[in-house]
Amino acid sequence: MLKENLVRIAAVLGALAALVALVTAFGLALAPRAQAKPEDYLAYSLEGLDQVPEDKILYREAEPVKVPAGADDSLAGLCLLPDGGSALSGGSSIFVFDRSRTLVRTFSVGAPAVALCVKPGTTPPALYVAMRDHLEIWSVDGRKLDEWTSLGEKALIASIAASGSAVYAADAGDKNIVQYDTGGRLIRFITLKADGGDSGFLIPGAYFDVAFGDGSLWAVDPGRHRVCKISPDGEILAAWGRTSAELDGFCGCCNPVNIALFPDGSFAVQEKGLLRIKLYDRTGAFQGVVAGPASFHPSVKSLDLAVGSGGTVYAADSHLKEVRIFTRKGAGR
Amino acid sequence: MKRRYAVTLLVLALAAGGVAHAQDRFPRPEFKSDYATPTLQVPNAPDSVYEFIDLGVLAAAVIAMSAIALKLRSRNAIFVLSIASLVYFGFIRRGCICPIGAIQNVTLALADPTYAVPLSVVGFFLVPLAATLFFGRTFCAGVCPLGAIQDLVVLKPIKIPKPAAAVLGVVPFLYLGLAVLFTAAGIGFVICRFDPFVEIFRFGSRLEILAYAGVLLGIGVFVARPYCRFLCPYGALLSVLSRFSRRHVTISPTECVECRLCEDACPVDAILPPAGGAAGGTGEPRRASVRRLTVSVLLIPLLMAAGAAGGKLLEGFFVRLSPDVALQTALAAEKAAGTADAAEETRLFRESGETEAALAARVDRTKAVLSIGSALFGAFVGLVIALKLLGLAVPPANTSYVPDRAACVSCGRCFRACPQEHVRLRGRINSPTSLE
Amino acid sequence: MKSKKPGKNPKKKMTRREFLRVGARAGLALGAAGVAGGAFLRGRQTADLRWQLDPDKCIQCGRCATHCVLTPSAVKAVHAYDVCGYCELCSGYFKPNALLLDTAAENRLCPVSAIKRTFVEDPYYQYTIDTDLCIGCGKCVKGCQSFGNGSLFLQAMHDRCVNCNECAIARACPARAWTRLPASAPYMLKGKSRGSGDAKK
Ligand code: SF4
Ligand code: SF4
Ligand code: SF4
Ligand code: SF4
Repeated sequence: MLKENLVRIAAVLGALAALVALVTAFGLALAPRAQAKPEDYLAYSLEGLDQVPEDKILYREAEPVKVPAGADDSLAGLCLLPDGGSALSGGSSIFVFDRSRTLVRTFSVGAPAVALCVKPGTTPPALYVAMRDHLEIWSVDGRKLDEWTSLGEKALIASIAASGSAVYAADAGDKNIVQYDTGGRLIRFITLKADGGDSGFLIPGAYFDVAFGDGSLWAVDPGRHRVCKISPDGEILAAWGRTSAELDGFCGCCNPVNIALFPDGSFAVQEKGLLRIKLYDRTGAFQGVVAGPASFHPSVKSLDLAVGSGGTVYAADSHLKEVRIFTRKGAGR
Repeated sequence: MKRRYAVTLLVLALAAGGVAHAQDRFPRPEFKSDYATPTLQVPNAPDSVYEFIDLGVLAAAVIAMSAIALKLRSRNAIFVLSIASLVYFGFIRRGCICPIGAIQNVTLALADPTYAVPLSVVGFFLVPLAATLFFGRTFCAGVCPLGAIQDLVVLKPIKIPKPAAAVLGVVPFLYLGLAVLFTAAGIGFVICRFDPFVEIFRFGSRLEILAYAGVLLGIGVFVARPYCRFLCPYGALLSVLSRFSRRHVTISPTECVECRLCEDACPVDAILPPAGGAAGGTGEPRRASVRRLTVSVLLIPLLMAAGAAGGKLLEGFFVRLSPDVALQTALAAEKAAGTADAAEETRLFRESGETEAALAARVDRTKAVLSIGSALFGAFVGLVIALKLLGLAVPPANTSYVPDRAACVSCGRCFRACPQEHVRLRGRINSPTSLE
Repeated sequence: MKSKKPGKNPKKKMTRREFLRVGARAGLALGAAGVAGGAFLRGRQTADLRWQLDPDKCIQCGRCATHCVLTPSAVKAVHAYDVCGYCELCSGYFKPNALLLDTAAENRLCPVSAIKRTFVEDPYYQYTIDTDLCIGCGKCVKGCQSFGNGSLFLQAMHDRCVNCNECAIARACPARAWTRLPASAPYMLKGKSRGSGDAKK
């Protein structure tokens, strides 16, 4: 009888032990564990190309300006206004900031505004606003002043630039730059002529930036990793840029993505992939880095650039919904 | 209905992909040669029809198994059908979806409004339950691939001491409760994750699961069907239903002669010897047994309350099992320490671009579910234990050797042990019908 | 299991048990049907569901290659040709610092050389994935996504995927890119096929 009871107790204890072991194993197996990095051969690696030596970084970041854009809106166009303020497009809204970087006005332009630039010499300032296939003119107080004709179904305007007498729209869809006069009359289509032939721009992606400065028109030829100064009839007057994954070159299928011209003719240039903003002098010689990949979220592709006085670089960051501001190290604001 | 659902999903998908959508608009290369851009080809999913065919096969197999076990009484036929079922549901259909796992789909459908459970999955959940209400656990006999594979290795079954079996018998209910709780709280489908045999069915390579299967099959040589008896959450449901089934497998085809020959025939210790005297009592005074019953009944609310309190104590532990909570904790720790992206998980979270607010919303939901759910889980476990005690207090009523309806898996091993069965078989062999 | 006070009518003990059993059976049947019916009616999903990943959310963490219950993974890279730039310097094909644009193995990104590069015309090349070789690591996708047009992307191939009740990758995916789609439209594609979702044979 005693023995029988002992066996019983032992059995129950054994069962309880099994139960505890089971529950522990279950808990352990279920507990969230730190996951390992994927093995090297499975992981995409930039092989250190995304590292920028500290001494090459010539800029430091200042307090950014938050933009109240919707979560899905990309901040596609950024430009500085003559009065020291700035304008930014996010989705189909235009945000206008004054010189102290406070948001003074938001208005809708009805369709996604893919690029912005100031119409020179107008007071109050007016903006050229690019939609996918056409340009519009809006005053900064939110009145629509004009709408130009559409470039057609295939058009995919990626950026605009303006001189005193002309407006240039870079159309990635048709792979040309459309030149208008200030009244909206289409003057000509500029394609790239080089080596005696009509080689055209090589635009593998939807990125195609133009800028006007120093009296001439500059455009990127991203498939060939270069920036070109082009005459109105498409002749390449000057070109620079070299294919390389090194810090001073451009790599990937299409780079650079965005350019901006300083008053002295030097360039701020943004690349995707290895997401960085770099400085080149007016001959295209590499100067240094404004901000490297460590400064941006990897999902960012294009950061529209604007450059201000004192060498300040502004970049519209669609991921953070901010205008990032970079100032030269050592220079006072 | 189906179409409308698909459209809704697509609209949702498009809305979610709003930004990246612009990616698709891009300048096409202008080929000068007559190169034609190939179109993207993706293979079709197997037609939904197959899921309903599976459901049909399942229903047919359960009915056939019931007929074999209850009418034909052939262990060999049960064996053959179980092999066929193992091959079909296990190796051909690769184990998924199975009724055990369907518990979670049904739970998720009730807990998460964004999840809609497919009809065939509901069918998989319901068919064995319904069959069990009519015929007992004939699904377990061998339609279930997990049961079938374990049944194959039952070579030297030993008896488990009753009290030990009673304690371990609570585990499936614990597992059921946890599976429901974790599904509702968004922690995941634990039944599927810890399905021991699915790796075998898929010829998979997750070593820890294969080892688990190996251990269970090893134990299963001596302790018959360890998963079915001491783990399976669906078995827990079936054991409850089986108690009240309309009909059930019997050991003896006619009348038990109390020869005791079948006593050791059952691998899962499910043969109940006749209780006490013919009156069905244990000989103890009626008054005493009434008192015992009353106490057991009164224990139910007490144990449930105690269980709820105990479950509440486990809440913190459950919360920590949620990957979302772990991620949030890791993020907070990194913020405090000022070291961003130290761990792979937090680095990837930042790369994914998901907002901390969205993560916090999920964490809050998990915590809300667990706050109530852990107490309910505890109360459920309390109820199970109380009912088990009550079961012990109710005097058994059988007057001959009968299968314990909750535990019997209708495997048919006891048939041949019964001398009456031999009489029946001889009668059949000699009968003119079988000579035709 | 449901308990009743014992012993009002001891003589009809079996009958009472039988009565209780029938009652309990009806109750349990109703309960099971109620739970299952309720669950079904919440969503009214008649078609089956298939696991798929949303390429717009995927960040190519590599887990699609390592976490699938199948080896190699049911997830493969696919190519939306109509979004491809046909670049000579394809960042999905070459390692980021591959300067020599030949197809030597050390310049290639894919660990299993599953991408075929064929010349179309100057300066365009077509890139084709060999699905049988691809292990779904997403390296090429990441290269294409960050430097290129994002025309390469990952999808679970439904002739391989065994449609686990809970996809093991979905559980591990840091981007929460996985969802269940109706079996009739089980893909999330890019390019012209976007939104069609359906298989084209
Ligand atoms: S049918 Fe099988 S499980 Fe049921 S009592 Fe007989 S031997 Fe035991
Ligand atoms: S696990 Fe998620 S993020 Fe990682 S590769 Fe797969 S779908 Fe993309
Ligand atoms: S890199 Fe990875 S995902 Fe791309 S084709 Fe090769 S194996 Fe497939
Ligand atoms: S459902 Fe299963 S087989 Fe399919 S991709 Fe996910 S883990 Fe792989």
